[in-house]
Amino acid sequence: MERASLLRAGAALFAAAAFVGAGSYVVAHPKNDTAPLQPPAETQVALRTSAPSATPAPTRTGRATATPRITTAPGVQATQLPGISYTHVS
Amino acid sequence: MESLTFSALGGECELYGVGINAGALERAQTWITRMHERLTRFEPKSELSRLNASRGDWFAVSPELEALLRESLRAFDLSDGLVNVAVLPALLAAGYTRDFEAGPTASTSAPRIRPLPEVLHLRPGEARLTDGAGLDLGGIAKGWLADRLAKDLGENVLVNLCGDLYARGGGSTGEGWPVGFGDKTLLLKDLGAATSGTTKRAWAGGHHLIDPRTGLPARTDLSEVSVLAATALDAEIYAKVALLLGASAAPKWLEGRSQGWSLT
Repeated sequence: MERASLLRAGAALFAAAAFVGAGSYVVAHPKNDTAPLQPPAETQVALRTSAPSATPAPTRTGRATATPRITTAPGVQATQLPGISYTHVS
Repeated sequence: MESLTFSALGGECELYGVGINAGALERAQTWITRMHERLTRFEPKSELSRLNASRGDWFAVSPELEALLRESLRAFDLSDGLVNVAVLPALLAAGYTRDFEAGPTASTSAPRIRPLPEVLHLRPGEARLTDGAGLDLGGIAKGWLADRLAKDLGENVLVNLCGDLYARGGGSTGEGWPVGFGDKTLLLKDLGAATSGTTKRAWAGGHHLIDPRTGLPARTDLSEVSVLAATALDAEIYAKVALLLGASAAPKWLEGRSQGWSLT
């Protein structure tokens, strides 16, 4: 009987310690940007939302290309519509 | 909106028009096909091939070829000699002796490319090409044909000849024709666009873009350049110059000339 009581008390103590430890961790970390539970993509999502870019036009070439560096004059507008045609190397 | 897609000039051509009928597009296709037959260097009986074979004699040219030759001289001046249609001997030496689909032939040593004004002389209705010189009108012809066709076809049309295009009018929305440019879509209205690159018509040890300074396939740190300009022909000229100048010098050269560019 004495051995069973000791086991029950030990299990209860372990459960209580785990509960208190987990609670302390949660209380200590929610405002920490580097907390391990922070979703790593959060910052990138925020950047994409604040600076939308035009929908990439299909290259139709079927090959991977490096990212082009595009410069346009102020009067030339980009659109998110798909292009009906495209300029390409012939 | 009416549209028509067909093969000509060594690639795919697309015509779009708002407020025009399908018959107009079909007549435009017929004209392009006829011009292709006249301007190709791969058919010995084409007008261009006969000029190339004229051995220094004065040769009667059609109004279209005369206009193209005058534009070729302008392109030479505009590009400080970097766009020189007299590169045919170098293309042949590089192995591009027949239609690209047939594959390259063995290369030989690069010839010296002479400045176009030294080898091409024009007078009304006639042209004289120095014996030994040869012309390949290539992209110059496509750009010029796109501009000319867009002007004749209607007020609201998009003409794309193998990547050299001219967008006239505002398209179906009036805001501009949506055209793929680099990895974006731009709304083009009364603008030309063209792309030059070393990634297509390339083979082991060479490609079709000759640097007139060396007579060899161009060595550049850019693989592809797309350019906007007031006409498709100017866009073609600017794209070629930018590609030959390379990534560091191209933006400065394009600034003030082009309405936009994409460097890859």
